[in-house]
Amino acid sequence: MTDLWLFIIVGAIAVAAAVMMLLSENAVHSALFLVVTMVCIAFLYLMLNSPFLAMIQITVYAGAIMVLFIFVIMLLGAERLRPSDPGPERSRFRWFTPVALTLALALLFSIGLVTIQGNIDSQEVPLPGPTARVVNAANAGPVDVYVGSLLAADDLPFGDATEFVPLTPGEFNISVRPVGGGEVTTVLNAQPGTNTNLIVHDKADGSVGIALSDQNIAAVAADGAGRVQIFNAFPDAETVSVVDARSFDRNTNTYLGIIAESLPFGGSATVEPAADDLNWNFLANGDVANVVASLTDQPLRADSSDLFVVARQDLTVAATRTIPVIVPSQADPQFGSPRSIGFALFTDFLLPFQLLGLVLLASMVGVIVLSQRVLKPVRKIQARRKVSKPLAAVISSQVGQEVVEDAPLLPVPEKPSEPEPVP
Amino acid sequence: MMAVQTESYVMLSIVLFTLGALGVLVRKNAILVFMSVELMLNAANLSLVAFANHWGQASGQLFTFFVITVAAAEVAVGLALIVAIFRTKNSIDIDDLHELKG
Repeated sequence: MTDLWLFIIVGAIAVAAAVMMLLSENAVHSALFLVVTMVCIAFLYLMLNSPFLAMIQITVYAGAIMVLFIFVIMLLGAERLRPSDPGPERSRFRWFTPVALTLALALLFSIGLVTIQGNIDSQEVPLPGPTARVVNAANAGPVDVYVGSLLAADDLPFGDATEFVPLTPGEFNISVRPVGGGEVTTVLNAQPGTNTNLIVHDKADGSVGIALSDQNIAAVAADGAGRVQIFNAFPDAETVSVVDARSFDRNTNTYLGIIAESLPFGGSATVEPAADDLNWNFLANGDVANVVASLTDQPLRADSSDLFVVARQDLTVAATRTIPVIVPSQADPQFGSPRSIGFALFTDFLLPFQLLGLVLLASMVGVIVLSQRVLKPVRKIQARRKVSKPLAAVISSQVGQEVVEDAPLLPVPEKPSEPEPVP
Repeated sequence: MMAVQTESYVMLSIVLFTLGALGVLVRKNAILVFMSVELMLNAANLSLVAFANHWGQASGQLFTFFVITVAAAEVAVGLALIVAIFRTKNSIDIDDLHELKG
């Protein structure tokens, strides 16, 4: 109920601010009401699980675009602007206001009807296609693995894994061909929305087997610290238990922190550990004294979905060791986080992203060009041409007469005669 | 109903869009018209994000991101145009600007 009340209040503020924006006389007031509307919409984005967009809305829209509007309004003095032709009606609305209002109400009514009647829930989101990858935890040397007719793994050595390859839904014959010969086959039924690990492992009798294990790489919840799937491919024991290495209790001689209990051969378990670094011990048959492998300070990222395959690795003819083959994979980023938008921007939507950059660049250049003032050309004062004196002397010596530069003198007025004495 | 239904967000988006359309038709100040266009864009963005949340797909949010970016570019160019027009005509009343005479 809190959600509904929040939505109603914030929505009402948004609509009220929009109405005030339309009715306000002062343009700056209108701009500020629009800022209120935009902040309300940013709040609604927060309620819609998109925190990144809420912050972008406030930063770009309310913080940059509306500030630009206010700059221009103040620059033009538009808050006091009156129509240039003061007719008898100096209203700030145009003459067809009632017509526009009627049309707006009709639009509101018809679209509202469609929204309420239409079933939004009748559409189903299609699940993403199935994917599969190969993990090699067998000691038979590099393997080639064919999924149907597709070569999924080419000379894959021990401890390596391929990337998830997309498949079409359906049945596939999996064929595992180790280098040493022999072929193991199985059938994979690929369903949409599943991500399958094809784990090639040693069986207790020394042959190579293949196991299918689905892994969930959907988005990890925000409060989880990543997800680990543990697969038991250890051929020398019946079951493997996974315990927290630091939780050994000397009194009872057991591990108190049990992560996965008695995984059978070929079984798997998915755990969501809380700690960032993992310190695990792998026990054979639950026997405290029989620690076959251990992990020390293995980092686990908050949005990862790792696969650990417990397997025996033959190092030389005589020596073996047991290690968990660690295959990390990325869980989907959490919905609405900046990570998920960045993911999509740089993989699926790279071209629109770059084109948008070009659009922004073009608009920047356009703004600079549009806002240039046209300057009137400044007239230069024409300097009087003068002939230099030495040049004048040379010319006069060649021409043979004085070159008179001076302007002709004005006629001097005659001196007035002395006034005759009046007899 | 615990959470708010998507239809409610779409209805709010429609109301805001209608108000923006009204503003474009009715106001005389060119800058006010422009701000009403921004209101319409915001209403469309709200609808996009509501549906992105409804179906859990991030592409709705991504498209909103694109719309915000393009709106920023458009506002910059449009306001530069208005300033340039104001320099010549000394008025931003759109009734004075309805002829294309220079």
